[in-house]
Amino acid sequence: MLNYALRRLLITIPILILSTFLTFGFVSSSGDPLADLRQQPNITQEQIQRVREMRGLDDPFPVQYLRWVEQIPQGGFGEYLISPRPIWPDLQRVMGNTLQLVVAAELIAFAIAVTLGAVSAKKQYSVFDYSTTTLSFLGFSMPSFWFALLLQVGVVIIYRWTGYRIFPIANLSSPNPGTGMAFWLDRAHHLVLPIASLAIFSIASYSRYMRASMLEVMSSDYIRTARAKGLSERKITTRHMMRNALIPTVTVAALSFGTLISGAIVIETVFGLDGMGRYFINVIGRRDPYPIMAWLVIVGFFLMLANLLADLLYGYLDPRIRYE
Amino acid sequence: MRSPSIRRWRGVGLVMAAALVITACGGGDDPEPEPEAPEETEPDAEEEPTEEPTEEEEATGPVQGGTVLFGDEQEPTILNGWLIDGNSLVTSKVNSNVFPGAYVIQPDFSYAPSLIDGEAEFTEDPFSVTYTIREEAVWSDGTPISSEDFVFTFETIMDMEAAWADQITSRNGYELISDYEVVDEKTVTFNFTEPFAAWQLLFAAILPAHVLEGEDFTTVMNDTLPDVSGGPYIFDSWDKGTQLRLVRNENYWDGEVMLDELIFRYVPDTTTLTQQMVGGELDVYDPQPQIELIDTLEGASDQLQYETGLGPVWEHIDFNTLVPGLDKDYVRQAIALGINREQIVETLVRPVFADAEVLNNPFWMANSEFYEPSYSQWDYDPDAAVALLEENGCTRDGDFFTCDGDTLSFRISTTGGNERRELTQQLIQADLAAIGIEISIENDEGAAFFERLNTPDNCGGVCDYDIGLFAWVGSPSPSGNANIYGCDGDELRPQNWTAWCNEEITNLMDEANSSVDPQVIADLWNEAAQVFADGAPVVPLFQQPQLVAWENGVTGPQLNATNATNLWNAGTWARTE
Repeated sequence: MLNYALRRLLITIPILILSTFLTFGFVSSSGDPLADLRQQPNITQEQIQRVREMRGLDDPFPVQYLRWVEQIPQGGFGEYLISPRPIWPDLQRVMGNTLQLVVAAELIAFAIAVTLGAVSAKKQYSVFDYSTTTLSFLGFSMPSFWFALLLQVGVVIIYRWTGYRIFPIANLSSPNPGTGMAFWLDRAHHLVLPIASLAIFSIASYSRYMRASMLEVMSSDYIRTARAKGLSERKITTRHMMRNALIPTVTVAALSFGTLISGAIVIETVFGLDGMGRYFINVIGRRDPYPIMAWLVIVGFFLMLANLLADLLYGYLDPRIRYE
Repeated sequence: MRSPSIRRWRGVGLVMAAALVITACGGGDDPEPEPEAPEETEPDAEEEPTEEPTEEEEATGPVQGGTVLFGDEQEPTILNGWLIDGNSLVTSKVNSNVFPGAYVIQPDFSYAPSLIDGEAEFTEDPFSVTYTIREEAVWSDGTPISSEDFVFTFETIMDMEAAWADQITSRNGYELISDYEVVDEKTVTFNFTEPFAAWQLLFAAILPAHVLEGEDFTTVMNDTLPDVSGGPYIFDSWDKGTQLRLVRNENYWDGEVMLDELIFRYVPDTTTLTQQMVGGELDVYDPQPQIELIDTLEGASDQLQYETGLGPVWEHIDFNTLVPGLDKDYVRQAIALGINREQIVETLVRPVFADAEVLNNPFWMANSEFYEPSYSQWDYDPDAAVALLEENGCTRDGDFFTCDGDTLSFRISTTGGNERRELTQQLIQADLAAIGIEISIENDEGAAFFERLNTPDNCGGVCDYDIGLFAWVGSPSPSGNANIYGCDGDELRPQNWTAWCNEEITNLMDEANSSVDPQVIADLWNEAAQVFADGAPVVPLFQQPQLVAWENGVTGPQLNATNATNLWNAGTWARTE
């Protein structure tokens, strides 16, 4: 399995190189990154031209790409275009914040969805089953930004009625978040609404997969055999049904990482969270190609990692799968 | 009265909120109610909410202490406002409270001496300005603010050999200073090679020489500011992406600062910021006003108040006068006559600011005492527009006129995605269709539009736009317009994107810029505005409205729609009992 994982990781290198080359081409041809400066009457054409020359913006695209590649090992993705500030510290900061949001949303969504899906399947055609089905379709059809706005308005209404803020409307932390455990409690408090907004779609999606998968497993021969052997229903459900039913759900969850990241872009903007999504919107707005590239490389890497993780999890969940 | 949107979603929101309480309580620490605690003693307004102030509470005056949370849509890129990357209003909001300036621009666009003792003295021939610094003015560490600081600021900006030389945003005015004389610790004279009309804009922020001497100006104020301040607040910390904290300068020389802290909270979404204001998480904010936003603020009028006014950002259309058809004065004049600017203001601006008017001068904003409505000669008159075209031999065979073989069909372009501009385009399109001029809308997303705008030399001939709709930021001094609309001989100045070259107007602008008598300057710019209006290379539309809102527990915020920003008087803000 280790060999397989290493081989998969090595394959990511040429994929990353090719994708960065293509992406750099798209980004650098999408417009003049210094166009904004021209709106400022105080900044002269000479100044703009000097920045252009200093950063080699008039060089051919492959030359610019190689210059960018050279910067990566020297200090983590180089510097911003206009002011010579390193990109990595900013990325490092927002990456941590987004991971908190996305991982928490994914874990919570997975746990809730697996439970809902399994119970729905076990109680097929019950009131509970119909209710979760209805709510799942509601979750599917509701845009996350709209749900986020609903939550914010709800909190405001409660505040206006009672004077109490049950959850913060925005930001990652309070003005004075404290340290240690107090800091993390404050952070968790601030992440409740964003996680709920981000997880709602995943819960709807995963629970449907889990339910369908459970129903398929429940009617299989080995479940009947297990019952015939006299295993308890709890053991049958947890060891045989759920474990096997989890395989497609895990696949969907791992492959949904990209969806979660794109969801995070919206959610971080709505809730004013200092994460990868908001950072991406910010650097896109400034049309600075270097941080955009850095962002894409990191997200690309994590996407590939998520796919690898999905493959490895198959083996754990289904020992019949062997890696070659 | 609550806002309609809040009323509409009240029921749904409650259900959702209740569901979340059930599912998500484990992750957070529920805030404890604190019904008796007055807000001004609470350093963390978000953490522990207090009850809405009663009428009795509102009637009480400012008290010492407390925190004000200011919400902002944008965050500074770097904190050094002197460098290109830090040249933004959001940086100014911070810097203006840390670095003292000679003058502060007032809400009525006038200049008030701040760091200096009365008006600066100046001589006209040769032109020199003498600043006498207030005797009591000191940095927060007790060091007097001195002539040396003025000189250090000047030399930092003008050091052409320094690593940051290419990064300085503007040397406008400073480059005319030939030498200086330090008269004494508190008096310094700067001599100019020629008069500079906007001299009051110079030294708007002074650097502490004793702290920054020998530092690399390229990096020293990127992520932090000096730990000494000459303004009402001292920089404390910047948690990027979240907030920037200023704390009270105990040694502030211009009156007692009431607040303990002024914290900027950064959230990029206006809707969210507004929910935070109404939800009691913010104390002050100044978003771009929109109709729905005003409705929401009105709905929370028991809890907060707001002020709207005309801002320095003025919308206009620019003609590319090298485009066939638009190279003719009478065509541009007909377009100016054919656009119902009054309707544009009525539709798009008055719902936000009821007193808004059509802007009729490209150089003086309507807030200025020098404003004269030179463009009122182009008040909406579609019949006159058609008559003007016909008088000049234009023929109308179908829907549209043809003049000298050029069919009057033009593109209008702007920053796509800006709703107000897109609506403006549609109104213009309909107005001009009615007088026989075809307008097609061709936008670029966001700032990509500005790539089209340039001088012909920089885009290989005729730049790729016919009519551009965008805005410039006005200033108490119109001096910068000489670069935007002037030309030297046949050579266009750097930002003359209209390519309209008029010697008379250039001379008037240059003469105004080398005058120092305010009335002479005003007359010259108004004369230039009249010549400009006659040629109509640009049609001003309106000044964008601005807004500042604050909760009832705060006193002091006042709209200042100039580059001084709405934080211009933050040193006087306070919380009330």
